[in-house]
Parts: sequence; C-alpha cells; structure tokens
Amino acid sequence: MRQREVYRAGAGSGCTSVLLLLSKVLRGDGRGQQAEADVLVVAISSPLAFSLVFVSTTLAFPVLAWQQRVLVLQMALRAEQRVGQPVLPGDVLLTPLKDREQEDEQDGARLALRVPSPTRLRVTCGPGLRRQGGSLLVTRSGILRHRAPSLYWVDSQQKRYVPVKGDHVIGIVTAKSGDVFKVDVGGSEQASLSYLAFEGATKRNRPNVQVGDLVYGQFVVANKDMEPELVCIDSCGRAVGMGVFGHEGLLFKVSLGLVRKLLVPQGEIIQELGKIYPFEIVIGMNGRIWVKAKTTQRTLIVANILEACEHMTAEQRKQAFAKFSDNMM
Amino acid sequence: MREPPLSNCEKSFLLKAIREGKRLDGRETYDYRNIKISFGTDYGCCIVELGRTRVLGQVSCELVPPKVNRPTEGIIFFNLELSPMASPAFELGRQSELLIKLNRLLERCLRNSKCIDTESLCVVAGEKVWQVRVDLHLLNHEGNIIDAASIAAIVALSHFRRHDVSIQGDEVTVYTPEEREPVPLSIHHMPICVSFAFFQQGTYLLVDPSDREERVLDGMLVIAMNKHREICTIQSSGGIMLLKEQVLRCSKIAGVKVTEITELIQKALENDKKIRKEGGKCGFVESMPQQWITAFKVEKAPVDVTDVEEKAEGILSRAEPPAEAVSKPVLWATGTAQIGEGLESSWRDMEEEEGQVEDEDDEGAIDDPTLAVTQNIEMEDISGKEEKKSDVDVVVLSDSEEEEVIILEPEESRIHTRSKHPADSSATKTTAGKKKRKKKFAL
Amino acid sequence: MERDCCLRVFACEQNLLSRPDGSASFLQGDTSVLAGIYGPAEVKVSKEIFDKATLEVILKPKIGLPAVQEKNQEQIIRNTCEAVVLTTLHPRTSITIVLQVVSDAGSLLACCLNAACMGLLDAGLPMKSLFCGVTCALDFEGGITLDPTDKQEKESRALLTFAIDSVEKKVLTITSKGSYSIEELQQCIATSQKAAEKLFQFYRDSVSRKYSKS
Repeated sequence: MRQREVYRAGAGSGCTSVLLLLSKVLRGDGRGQQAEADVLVVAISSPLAFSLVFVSTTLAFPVLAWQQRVLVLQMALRAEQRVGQPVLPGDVLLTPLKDREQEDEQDGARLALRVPSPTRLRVTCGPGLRRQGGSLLVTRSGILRHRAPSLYWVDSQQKRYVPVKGDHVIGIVTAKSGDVFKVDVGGSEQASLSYLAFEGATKRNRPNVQVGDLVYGQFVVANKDMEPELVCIDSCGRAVGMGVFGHEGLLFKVSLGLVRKLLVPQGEIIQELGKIYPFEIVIGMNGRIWVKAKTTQRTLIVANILEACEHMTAEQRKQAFAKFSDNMM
Repeated sequence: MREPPLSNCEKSFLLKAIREGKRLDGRETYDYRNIKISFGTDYGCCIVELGRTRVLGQVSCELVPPKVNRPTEGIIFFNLELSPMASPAFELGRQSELLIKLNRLLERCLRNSKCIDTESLCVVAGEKVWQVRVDLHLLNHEGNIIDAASIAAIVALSHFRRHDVSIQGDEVTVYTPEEREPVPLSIHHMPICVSFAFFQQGTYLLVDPSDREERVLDGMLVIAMNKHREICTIQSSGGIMLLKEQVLRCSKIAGVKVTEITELIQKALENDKKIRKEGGKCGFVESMPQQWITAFKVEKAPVDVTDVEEKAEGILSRAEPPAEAVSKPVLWATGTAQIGEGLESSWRDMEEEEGQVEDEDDEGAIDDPTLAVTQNIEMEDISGKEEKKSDVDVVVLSDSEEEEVIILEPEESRIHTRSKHPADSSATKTTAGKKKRKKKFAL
Repeated sequence: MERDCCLRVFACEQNLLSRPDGSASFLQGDTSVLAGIYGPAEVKVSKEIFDKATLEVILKPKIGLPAVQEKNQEQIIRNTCEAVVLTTLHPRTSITIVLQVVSDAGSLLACCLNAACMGLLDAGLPMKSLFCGVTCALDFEGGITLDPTDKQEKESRALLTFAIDSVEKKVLTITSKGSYSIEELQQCIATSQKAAEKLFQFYRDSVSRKYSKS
C-alpha cells in the first residue's frame, strides 16, 4: 500500500510566499493494517524556512532533515499545554505522548497509523527553540505555536531581521561592485545579488538596476557563517513576481511579527483592506512593506492602517475596518 | 553600524507627497507632532517626547570659582549627547559635525539669549559661583532633535532647584534640601527653537520635520523665539536662498508655535509643582502609560525570607570548613619567609601525572623511585643555598623555579647521576625521558 | 535581626523606542534605567569575532561623561549578558546594549541588569535563560535590606549585588562593597534568590501582557 497526498496552499498577490506541502507516505508492512512509518513534510517559506518535519516511528526509516533540528524525545510532557501561551527564554518544554495519540485520532484521515512504540516522538524545533537533552529549551520570548503533528516554534515580535534561506525579502540596492549588487536587507550583513540572477539577464543583456532601487528577491544562501545571497528568479529562470520594482509607492518598516501575521495563508487583513479600494502591495519577510494605491492619500491610508494593525486584536481590527469603509462610502 | 539606506522610491514619494501638501504621519504642513513632558523625582530631570523623538534632560550644579573676566556671573554649561541608543548611526563619544552644530545652536539659543539670570548664581564675587550644567541625552532619533532638545533644556532649567546658600561674613553655608527648601533658578524668558524644512529650493516648507523628511530636505531654518515674540537665535543651513517674505512668514509661524509650546510647558510645570506640594506620587513611574500592553507595573512586593537563615546555615554546614591558616611566618633562610602552606606547584603536578602515565606505559610500578632520583639530582645540582636549605631539613621541593634549574641542566649531570645509581638503570632511563619532556615545558 | 525584605514598586515598559531593535525602561522605586538594544547587527572589522557575536555594553551616566565606575559596571553587565546570550548563533555580528541612567535612587546596578534583560527579551535575541539583578544591603546589626534606596545604601555596612539566572536560580555575578562574613553572604544569596523569583514572575507577567493581543 503506497499513498501520496500533496496539499498546496499559495496565498495572495504573487508576493506572499507561503507554500505548504504536506506529503504523506504510507507503507504497508505486508500485514495490511499495520504501517511502518508516516511522514509529514512541511515546507513553509518562513518563519520556518523549509523545515522538514518527520514523524517516524521506526528508526529504520531514512531520516531526511535539513536546516531545522529533528530530535527524538523520550517520554515528554507539557509542551502541548503551553501552545498559544507566552514562553520565556529558559523555559523547558516537554512533549506529551498521550496527546500524540489523541492527535492521531483527530487527524485520522491523514495519519491513520498507530504508533508501535509510543516512547519515541520526533519533534522539529522552529525559531526560538533548541534541543536540550530530551526536551526543548526556549531561547526567545513569544507565543508558543504548534503545527500538527510535532512542529513547534516561538512566535515573537522582533524588529531585526536575520536572513533565512528561501525567504522573500525587499532589499535596497546600495552599491554595484563588479558583477554583483550589494543589497541592504536589514540584516547584519549586506546580501549579494548577481546581475545574472534576473529573468532574461545574460552577460550582454544586463538588468537596469540603479543604486537606491528596490528589489524583491529570494535568499538562496543564508546561514550564519556565509554572506547571504539573493536571486530574483526561481529555479526555472522565471521572475515569478521578483525583480526590481517600486518606482512609485511607499516603502515602510513594520515588525517581523506583523509581516508574518499579514502573510498567513488566507490572511484576513489584506483581503479586508482590498475590499475598501484596490492597491498594490509587496511584503518582504524582512519587515519591509511597499504599497501603492491610485493616489498619494490612499497609499498613505493603507500604510497607516497596516502599521496600526500591529497592536490590534482581530476584533478591534474588524471594527476599525468597518468604521473605515463606512467613511469611504 | 550604519543608518539603513533611503531608497529612491521613498525619496520620490516623500517629495511627491510634500508637493501635494501631505505628510507621512497625516500632519498638515504647519503641524507639530505631539509633545509630552514628564518629570523625574529629582529636581531638574525631565523627558520630552516630540512624536517619537525623545530627549532626557538633567540639570545639576556645583560651586566653582568664576571666570576671571566675569567674576560676578555664574556659569552655564550645555552638553547635548547623541547616544548610540537613538540611532545606529551615532557612535559613542564621537564629535560629529551634527553634534557640534546642535550644541552650538543650543548655546546660542539658551546662553547667549540671557534667558537665565547668571548674576543671581554668584555666591561670593570673584570666589564662588554656581556652575549650572545641563545634560541632554537624545534617546530616540525620529527627526527634529534641536526642537526637542531646546524644550527639554528649558523645561529642565525651570524645574531645577538649587541648594540654598547663606553668607555670614566670610562664611558660606550650603543648606541641604532637608534644612532649607531649595531655590529655583531665575529665568527671564523661555526661548524655544522651531525648525522649518525647505524642499525644492525653498518652494515647499514644513514645520517640525520627521527623520525621513530631514533626509530629503534641501535646507533648514531654525528660529529660537520666546513667547514675547523676541527672536533669540536664527540659523539657516543647507545653503538655500530664502526670500525675505519666507523668513518673515517663518517667524510668524514660530511665534504661534512658541506660544503654544510655552503654555504647554507651564501647564506641565504647574501640574508637577501641585503634585509635589500635595505630597502625591511623582516621577517616571507615574507618567508611564498604564493602559498600554507594553507597560506593566507591580506594587511593593514583600519577599518571604523566613527560611533564609536556615538555608544559609545549611549551605555553610555542608561546605568544607576553611583551612586553618598558619599565622606565624616561617623563616627559612635570611631574606626568605613563608606564611601559610602555599599551594602545590601546578607545574610539578603536571609532570608527576605525566611521569606516572609514562611509567605505567613503560614499566608499570617504578614511579616512586624515579621521582626520588629526580629529586636527588635537583638536590645535588643546586649549590650552596640548597645545602643550607637541606640543613633546615627541607624536603619539599615543590618550587617550580628549582624545577626550571634542572631543565637547563647540561649533559654532565646525567652522567653523574648514572654513576651514582648504576644499579637502577631503568629508573635513570625514565629520568632522561622526563628531562626531555621538561625541556618541552620550558620552551 | 530585623529585616526590610520588600522590593520597591517595580515597573517596566517595553518597545518604547522606535529606532533600536529592542528597548525597555525598568523602574525600581525611583531608580530608572532605559535600555536600547541593537543586534544582531553589522560589526566593525576590528571588533569582529569569527565564531560568535561581539557583545558590547554602553552605560551612560545622567550627568557628565562616563568614568571608571561606569566602565566597571559596563564590564559586569557585559559578562553577565555574555553568560546567558547565545552569541554563537550569530557569528560576526554585534549586539550592542546601550543603558541610560534616567534616575538613580539606589540599587542602580541591579536596575541596569534588569533593564538589559528586558531589552534583550524585547529584541528577541536568543538566550539560555533570563537573569535579574538584586541588591542587598547589610547594616551594622547584620540585617539585610533588599533593593535598598540610596539613603539605605549610604547607611549600610556592605552592599552586595547579584545577578541570578532564571533556570536554576544560580548566581551569575556577584559584586560587593564593604565587609561581611560568609554566613551573611550566604544569607544574602538566599534572600536574592527569593527576590529573583518575584522578579522573574514579573518578567513573565509583563511579557504575557505584551503578547496578549497576538
């Protein structure tokens, strides 16, 4: 028995970059009912950048993980109860086993597999978590989030961006040096962007990029030890919305938490705003947002509303939007 | 660190918006941002917020001899600092051009305008005067530093109280605040700076420019004025040509703004005075926005310390008692003395360990005789002084210096050793090996 | 032995400055310190460390220029932060903690430590654990005063400031002035550990409040 399901959820305007890929591999062991392993692969652009989550119940199954830590937890408890609550650095989280079984029942359609030995559970740590022995150590303050079956991360409200591979960001070109552009992305180091990394660019046909221009690109190299590198094409050489943009319009900075809030799949904020009047928006994972509407006034309104969203609950936001669209009518 | 760069799109958008008479934060052309003044518990301490630009002001004073050319005048000293906290572009202790410009402007605005009666700061003519020091720290830079700083300076000066002084004959008595109520400085008027930013060679004008507006402006005009509409300082920078009408218009606007700001300052000062008089709570804790989710406050928290003593005792009882110190100095030889046991030489420890390891590798159990041999060599090599020592029956040869002596020993000594202990050849072999190792240590 | 074991009113405001990556103002009674944190940010080549972030602490006095005392305290705070911040996660970057004394009414170093920790929390820098600063004053009768005011500090025989971590409540830093016995030291440590629990609870509550809308 072999079965594969793929879910794909892309969101918004070509700029939002959330790709959720769930893949499940089920293998029968000949006895029909019992399966050896189930695999859940989640690849999200950020904050968890191509993290692979693995739920493997047998160690014989090949381990595939890059970028994020995959760890094995022994008899863990209590992390589930902390989901949605604020955590602080130094907190130690343990993952429960009972809940895991319940979860299996809930996600029966997707993960209809029983766990042969319930003592081991693989958990993926997202940002803000580290492995400490058999448990998780919180290293950043924020709200603990969880995605089934065993992906955990801390959602915090930072301002400073740290490049992550696969992230789509808005950069400002600061210099041309040889055949690369230096791009400020708000991190600790300027990113490099090759002039060949644009759609249709060749050695003869250089892209028209000036110092001070905005580029929307994706990180192909981003780790703590190397200079980050941006590209404005995908693996097939197409631009898919990336490249130089924004000869008009307004660029402003918000917190990284707000950007993530705006970029959640089926995010309400952008959709609700779009109902009021049309506008163009580019959101970079580095906390930069570019907006352009028909008039200067409208551009400013959109920018101010987005900034204000940072400190509003969903309820307050709805009220504010309702009030605002009434005024516009 | 460097300032994040300004993109072309921001520049063009800002200029376009200014042409249309719009500003990023929704203000009108002549609007100031919100001004908030809060006071600390000390006299002469205030924080002024102009929008998100924030300046901390503190006034202090001390008695100093006056300047020779002005024996009856007190001294006022201004010091604005651009803290690295305010912007990543500011470095600690660097006298940037901007900083010098701002400090100079502040001095002209507040000292040269004679708003403070410096003669009243004289205690004994030619001998003792008060030196008033105004420290201003920029905490957050979101544009228009000078206006915020000038407001902070004048607010801090008006809020400040100095110690009362009395003179009886030659005797000068300075009273503490408990003895006598401190006295305020005498301030004639309150000069306040108002900044105007010009764009497109003076075609467009904005009051109170924000950080991003400052980065695209062509020229700037700062007018310091008091509420009686007397201009105290005027400065134009950026090299733009201004028309006479423009300057006049700016001074009119400045007059209105200064009246508004002065009223606000006086209200804030009166409010603080009232609270202090009533003995109410003052200080920054009280001015913190309690309703904001980023702010949090707890009242006095008692700490239960009932079992502290037991705990401390427990820890101490479990701990090893401190070693008995030898209080009597021991005289080993003339010119040498020792107090206490001293620590074991770490050099020796290492060697012994290594020697042991090697012995285990080589022969197994002859480590003790080997050591004895080495010690013998050492004894022999060191001359007269050593002999004296042995007279006093010193067997502890833990001193590292002595070990070093043996390291630099010439070949002969080894031969000598061999002749002395012909039977124990295996031990000598180890000694030789050890010596080589010791050389390594010495190197 | 009489004891004044009460922490003064304490309050904290986070994210109050727009320019730094993290900021916090911490108030203990009338003592108040403002912290602004930048990082992980660009580092000067001369200060670059290849396998970890360069941690810098700048303490600005309210009056005048920084003197030896400030430099000493900067070093104490820097060493404390270095012990908990996971600097290896951001090599070749700088983490700058700028502390501004807003008002000093006793227990200043403890307040600086608390402001630094809240600022680091706000900036979202990775940390092994939290830390807090507690000051104890010993009077001539041997009584311990927690979180002393400047007047109490002056009257004290010895003044001890501890930095305590949040996981095991162990002492990260001790700095003291004056003479005291081993028993008194242990008592002060035990008292500070108790006080630290209160402070960590306060940290937790203020962070919960900050995230109450997300």
